Amino acid sequence: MTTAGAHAPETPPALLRLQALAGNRAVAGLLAGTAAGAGVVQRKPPVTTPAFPPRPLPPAAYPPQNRPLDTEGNLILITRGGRPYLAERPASLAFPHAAGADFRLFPVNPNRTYQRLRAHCGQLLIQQRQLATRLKGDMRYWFARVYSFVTQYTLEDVDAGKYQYPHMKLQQIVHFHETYQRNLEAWEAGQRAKVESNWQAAFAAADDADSILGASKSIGNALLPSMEAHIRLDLPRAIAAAYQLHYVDIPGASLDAFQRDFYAMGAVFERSQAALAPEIDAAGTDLNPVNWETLGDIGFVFLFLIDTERQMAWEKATAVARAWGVSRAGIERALRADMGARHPNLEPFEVAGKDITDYDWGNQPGARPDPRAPGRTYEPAPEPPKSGTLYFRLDRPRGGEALEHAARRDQDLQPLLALAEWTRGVRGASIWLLGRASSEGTEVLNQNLALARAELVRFFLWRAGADLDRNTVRTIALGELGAQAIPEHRCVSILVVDRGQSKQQVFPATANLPSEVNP
Amino acid sequence: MGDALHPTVVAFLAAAEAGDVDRLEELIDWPTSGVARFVASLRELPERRRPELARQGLAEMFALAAGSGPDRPLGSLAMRLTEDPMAVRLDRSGVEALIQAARPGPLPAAIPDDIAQAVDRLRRRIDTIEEAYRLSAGKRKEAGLGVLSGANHLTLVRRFPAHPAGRAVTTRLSR
Repeated sequence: MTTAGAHAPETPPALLRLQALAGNRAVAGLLAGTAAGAGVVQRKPPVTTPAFPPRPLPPAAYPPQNRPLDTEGNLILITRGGRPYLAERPASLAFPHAAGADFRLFPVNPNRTYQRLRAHCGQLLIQQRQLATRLKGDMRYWFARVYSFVTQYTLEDVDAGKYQYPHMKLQQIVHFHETYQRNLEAWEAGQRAKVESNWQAAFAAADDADSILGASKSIGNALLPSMEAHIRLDLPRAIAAAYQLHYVDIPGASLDAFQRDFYAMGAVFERSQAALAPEIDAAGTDLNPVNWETLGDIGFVFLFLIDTERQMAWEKATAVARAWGVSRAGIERALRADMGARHPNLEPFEVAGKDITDYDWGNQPGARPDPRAPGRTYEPAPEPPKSGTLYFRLDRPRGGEALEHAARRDQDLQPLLALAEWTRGVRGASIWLLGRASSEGTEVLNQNLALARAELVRFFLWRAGADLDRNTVRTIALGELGAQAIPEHRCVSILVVDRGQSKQQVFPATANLPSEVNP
Repeated sequence: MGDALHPTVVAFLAAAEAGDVDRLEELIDWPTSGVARFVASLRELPERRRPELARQGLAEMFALAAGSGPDRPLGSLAMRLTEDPMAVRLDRSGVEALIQAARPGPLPAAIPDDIAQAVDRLRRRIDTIEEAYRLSAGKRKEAGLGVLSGANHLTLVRRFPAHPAGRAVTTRLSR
């Protein structure tokens, strides 16, 4: 086989005899005038059509030989749900965290994830402060203010390495923010139907907060329902959602792993209370006539029922996580049964005295599932053997003639064997076999001849074990189109038009980030 | 039974107006106040979880009665009651309605015997409620209060339904 476009004159019979005896190279050398004095010319063993049956086909794909990593170089595994998680303790954990954490509950790319989440939460804190400033003069200011303190102190604790799982804590901040933001925006836009019922009760209470007992009581009336809406409903849902979104199917994961961090947040509320109390006292100096304490201080006894409310929030988060995936009514029912049996005298679902019965526990506003781990991909296909053109003898093939007889004797079939071998390592490749005929004879015969030539090459490839199941070999008969009565047009041009992919699979490095910071 | 208010109710209103939450919570009979919800919740639980949670819930009700349960069980109700608290005494049908609301339903399966016996005792105790009141704060109807026979504690029924038969026999009871 010569390369396409090479001049290939019909060989005289004398040379064919020489070729039979000494091989192509000798003939070529003779024609080029270089054989003389070259010593004994060795003929290569002629290539013949491989015997039937063809070689069995190799598998459609080979499993990856590399180990799956994240882009920080950490070895990862992938859950059945397609979630990547750390398989080994990362070499570098460049973010503050408390000792004793289970590395599997850090996200993949833990350092970059931390940086992105921390930066994002810093932006959210700025927004919360701006919101509080905007709401000044409105009774909803008080919750917006205390809420910004809670975020601020949580972030300070995150920076101080107080939490074992700072990513989870930051993810919760994102979810709280999203929930409050959406509800407040809908309320302010007059779209009450879009406001969740806990916030409807809380915002309405803020609108109706004025008390004859004075300013600090009014503040308490506005603030307490919002705290209830947040702690009794949004907090447990956010915890359950963050767990379900990012951790639930990691082997060995349990919501209990995050319990320590949850209770470590208690001081955040105490500090927030301390930060807000002077503002409340400054707003109203009214005193309780019974014990002469400021009502602002008394109010906070109710505002931050830290132990009880936070314990119940955790219990609710656990119950919601346990019931996750069942219907909205199913979660509500399971949750109420759980809490009602544990705490028959308490009101864990009440906001401003209203029992919230239609909260959508399983639907965290704005929450999106994490991107799945990238699947195995295939390596690029190797370079195909050089394509070329195979020249045929006049009016060949005839009948059941083999390719080595139909092709001109100066043609080397070795490249076809190499092409067949190449197809065994690739999938999705596309090879065109363009059959041609010179213009001698009728058009119909030449069309058939061109097709027969292409089909014969295809047959040869099949016998040589080419993978024709996972690759496409297309025979195209060009007939005598544009041909003349010269040997150059008695040929099959072999074109690899698409290399496809290697059958060798590979794990690409996963660049995944959690959905909160994944654009 | 005349229109005179029961002394325990007077004490409750006084504590509410004074914002004395400790006293308010002290005057509540927590086991009879919680047992209806306790039993209803147990019925909704899977059978395997009932014994554990039943023990936990019953313990909490009696811990509250002993003053050692969770902090501030009245929650925001106590705060709302500081503003213009009122109690309206109900007639006999109102008493029946309150007993009905406070009374636990039948216990489901898989409840340990000692817990079942405790629930039975509470059920019998609720049946001794002699007087019933509707408790309000400002314009809001907040709860029902039942006066247990021979006791100086009140059974609190939150979200006590407006019972048409529960005719008020007094208007506002002032202390």
